[in-house]
Amino acid sequence: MNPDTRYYNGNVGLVDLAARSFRVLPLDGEAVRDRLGGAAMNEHLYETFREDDPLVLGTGPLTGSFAPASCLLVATFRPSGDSPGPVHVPLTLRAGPELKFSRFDYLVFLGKADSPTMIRVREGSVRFAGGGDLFGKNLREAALRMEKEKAGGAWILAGRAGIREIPGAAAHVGTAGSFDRSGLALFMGKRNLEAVLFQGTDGLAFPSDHAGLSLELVRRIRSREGKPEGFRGALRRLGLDRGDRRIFRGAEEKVMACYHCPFPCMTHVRYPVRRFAPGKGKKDRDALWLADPWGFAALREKRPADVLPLLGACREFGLDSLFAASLFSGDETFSDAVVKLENLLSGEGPAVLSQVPPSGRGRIWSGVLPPGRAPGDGASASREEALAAAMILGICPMFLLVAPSVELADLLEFLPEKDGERVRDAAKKLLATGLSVP
Amino acid sequence: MTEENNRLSQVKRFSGAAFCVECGRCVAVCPMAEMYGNFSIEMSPRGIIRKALTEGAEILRDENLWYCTECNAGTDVCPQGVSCRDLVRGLREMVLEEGRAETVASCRHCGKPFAALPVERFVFRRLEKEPMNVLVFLEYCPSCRRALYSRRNA
Amino acid sequence: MNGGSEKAADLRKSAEQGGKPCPFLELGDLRPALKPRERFSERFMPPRNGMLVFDPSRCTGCGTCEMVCGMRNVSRVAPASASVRVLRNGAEGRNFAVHCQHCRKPLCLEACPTRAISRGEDGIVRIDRIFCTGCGLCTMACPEAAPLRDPATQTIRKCDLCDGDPLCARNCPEGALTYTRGKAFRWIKGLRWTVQTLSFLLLVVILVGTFCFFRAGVVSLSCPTGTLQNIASTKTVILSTVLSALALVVLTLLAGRLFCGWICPFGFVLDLVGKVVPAKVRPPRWFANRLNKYGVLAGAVGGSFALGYQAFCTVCPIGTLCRSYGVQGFFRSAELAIVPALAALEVTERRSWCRYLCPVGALLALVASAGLIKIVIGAKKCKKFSCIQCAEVCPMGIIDGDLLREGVSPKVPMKECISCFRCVDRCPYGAAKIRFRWQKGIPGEGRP
Repeated sequence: MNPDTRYYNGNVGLVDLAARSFRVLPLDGEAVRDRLGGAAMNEHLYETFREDDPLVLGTGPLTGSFAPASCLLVATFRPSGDSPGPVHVPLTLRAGPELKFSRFDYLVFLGKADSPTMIRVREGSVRFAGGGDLFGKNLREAALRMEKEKAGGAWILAGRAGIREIPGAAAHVGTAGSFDRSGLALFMGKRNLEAVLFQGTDGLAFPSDHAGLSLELVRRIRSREGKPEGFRGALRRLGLDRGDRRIFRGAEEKVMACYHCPFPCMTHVRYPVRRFAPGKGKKDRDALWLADPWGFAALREKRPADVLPLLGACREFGLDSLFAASLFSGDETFSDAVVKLENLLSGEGPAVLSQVPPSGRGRIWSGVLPPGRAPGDGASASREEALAAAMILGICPMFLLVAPSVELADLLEFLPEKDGERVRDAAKKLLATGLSVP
Repeated sequence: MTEENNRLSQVKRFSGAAFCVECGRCVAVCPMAEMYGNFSIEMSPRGIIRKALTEGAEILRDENLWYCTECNAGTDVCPQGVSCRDLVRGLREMVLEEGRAETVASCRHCGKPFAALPVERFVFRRLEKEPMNVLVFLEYCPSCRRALYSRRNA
Repeated sequence: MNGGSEKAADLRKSAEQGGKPCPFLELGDLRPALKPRERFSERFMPPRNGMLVFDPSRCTGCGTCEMVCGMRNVSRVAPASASVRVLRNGAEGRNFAVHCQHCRKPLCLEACPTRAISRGEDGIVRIDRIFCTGCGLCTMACPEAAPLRDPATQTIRKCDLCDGDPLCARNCPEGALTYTRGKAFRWIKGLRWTVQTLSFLLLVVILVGTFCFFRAGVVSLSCPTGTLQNIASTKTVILSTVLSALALVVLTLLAGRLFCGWICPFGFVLDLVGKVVPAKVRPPRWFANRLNKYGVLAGAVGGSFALGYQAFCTVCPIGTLCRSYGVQGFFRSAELAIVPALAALEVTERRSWCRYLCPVGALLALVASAGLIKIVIGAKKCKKFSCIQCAEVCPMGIIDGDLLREGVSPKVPMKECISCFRCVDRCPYGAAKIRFRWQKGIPGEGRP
């Protein structure tokens, strides 16, 4: 068997949104030999279907495996406007493994649906359902609807802003939000693709001794980095920590992790709402899943007093909080701020503002480092290589950022042929395409 | 009516019911023999197959259709590869789609039917010695039961 | 909660009314069951079987447990085929791992029509592949809907604790799933039996009639009920007598009815008898009323008042034990019968004397209701269906096992509790704890 496709099902799903049909194509072994997977393979598929302006969702060979933080699903598409080339958005939580366990390695979405559609991927087949009642709903209601579907697996939602094609929209993975700053939600909204649900029931034959290998690696990482402290720890490790005691005062925090992540960077908070909604009782709390440190930091700059409820509002509406922060001046009251967000949703937002997708190397791991950050700034060349390799192998790039002692060599242990050279070559090639695009 | 007959033939084809030679191996392994004192040929897999083949749509109104646990043990031993579970399941789906729900136990919380009533009552009868407030879980489907349990446990 | 009772009543009615026999077969009609042999030694040292403990406050929902379990089940990384399922609630931020609890009285075992499920000596509940038909009735009977059916292949397969070394516990990065065999040495039990033995030796064997009244120089201690009867019979109150009764009252205020559980020599005798004699006979309802002991107390005091001597003290088994059975005791024939006669009540319920009749206990109960400590049992932390050891081991029977199974933390009435702390000692999950009266927290409640 081709060792490159060993950790794949060997299926590429081609979904025609307009015709509401799908086809299964075999995974091209040559391309996998060349590109390995993840963002690089996505680009290959993107090029193949370039005329149809596709959305490619792809996994890497290590997605779903015992490698740490093996949760990655890469969304590749060309953001609207005059963007030069495709952008890769990392989607975490459980989307990648659930896609793989549904017997698909890659999904290519072509065309535009006539009406808002929800896609269900399960057991090697793709089903179309009318997403109608999710249309324009806030995240909370959408989540309840997904609960009722007994979806169980993972879901990607375009969100309220995305469906209305509002600039600044951000897609959600589960209720955790995402790193979408490049217009994935807009892209989905333009094609009437409301949500994609994955429900994996199958499995993949990763070697059984990898479980022990993973355990050892986890122990090593923890002894080097200390305890993961969820979102607060992530802020600290990224240099974005400012104490934040007032913000989190009285909040109950619970660390949440993505698939097989030993070093979680997300926290679910339940903060008291008394300060923001004076009518509420002392015990009334609102819940919010914190996963995006840069969005949090940007909002905190402008409005340090009410970061959490504003983040919650952005999440409900499906807006990227980094973008939303630019709407605020800092002087407005809390209710005015919320009104500004709502105005944005109804299309009355300031017309000049629009999301600027990342350029250069930032395209490869878009959303994870703040856009506009110059390559090489803060991230060394070898680190960039590791990040690109992660996007190729199917490992969450945030994991590499919050646990800087993890090296590419650690991840290579989990590949069938521990060929570091090939991985580095593929990473270098991907980085090169990132730079060479004007 | 032809719609129903069409569907019926589809179900029969899918389960391979026509291949049955009435050897009775499925009856021998059927757990229903050890559940119901009134276990008869009519409720056995062999009987259901026979009735479906000879009496057509009448089977849909037969209450013997609801004793089966859908375990598939009959299929495992059938020399002809007839799947009794697929037949029973297909027939039950047809009945449920018509809206008749008195033969199934539906979840108290989400309303989804999750078990045939005679089967659920058998389990209830077996667990009779437990106190009532504890047996209430039998009225929920597995997902709601799991969710309720997790809520009871912090 | 009404549906259940209606159904049961329905079933019974329909069976009786129709003149038809109940259509469902009993387990007894089938092949003979494997009766678990209860070894005699298990009465004294209950078996310490390993169990999986899940701590929701540590679970991050990473799903590593599902991965490795799926690996063991189907030799592939397939979280859907695992015998443990993690419920993830993103909106509320809660993760919960559902897995087979290997209940001590498994409901799946009861429901299986072919008796394929059995609980081994190691405490692990297993399905015998030979008899399993894959009917799925076990799935329906499990109160927590533990994953028993593989959704991919539809086969029935359950957790077998990896035969003693569960992979999920080994691989959990946060330590939310742990495998434990409980406490190796139950030190409370050791301490209590030691204190009980010493107290028995001191009060009964070595020193005579000591429980009723003890003097050593200036220090004097006396039974509070006896003191009450003394006051009632002599109609005078001597301060020193009252003060000497206070020692026991103060002890009860501090630690509940510790005297009853740790010091009372008759209680020690009852505990010993209880170890040997099974509690099988159901007492009549008029007898099994906990208010009866207050009646006995009132009778004792009233009787002393009327008769002019300490009425109850003559027949008190504690006093009798101390006086008649000691080395220097006098073996009066009639009195000798009191202790065995009352000890024989153990065939009805454990410590039935203490529950329903003892006036000393009654007085101490009144004091203990204002005591300093309380026992809390956090139903959310314990395993409910699979355990209920606290309710079974409590000699006073004051822990409501049915409430626990419902998931409600029962209130332990400290009036009745004899502070033996068997529940606290026995609980393998740390759900039963001793707390001060003013402490509000219950183990397991609050944000996980």
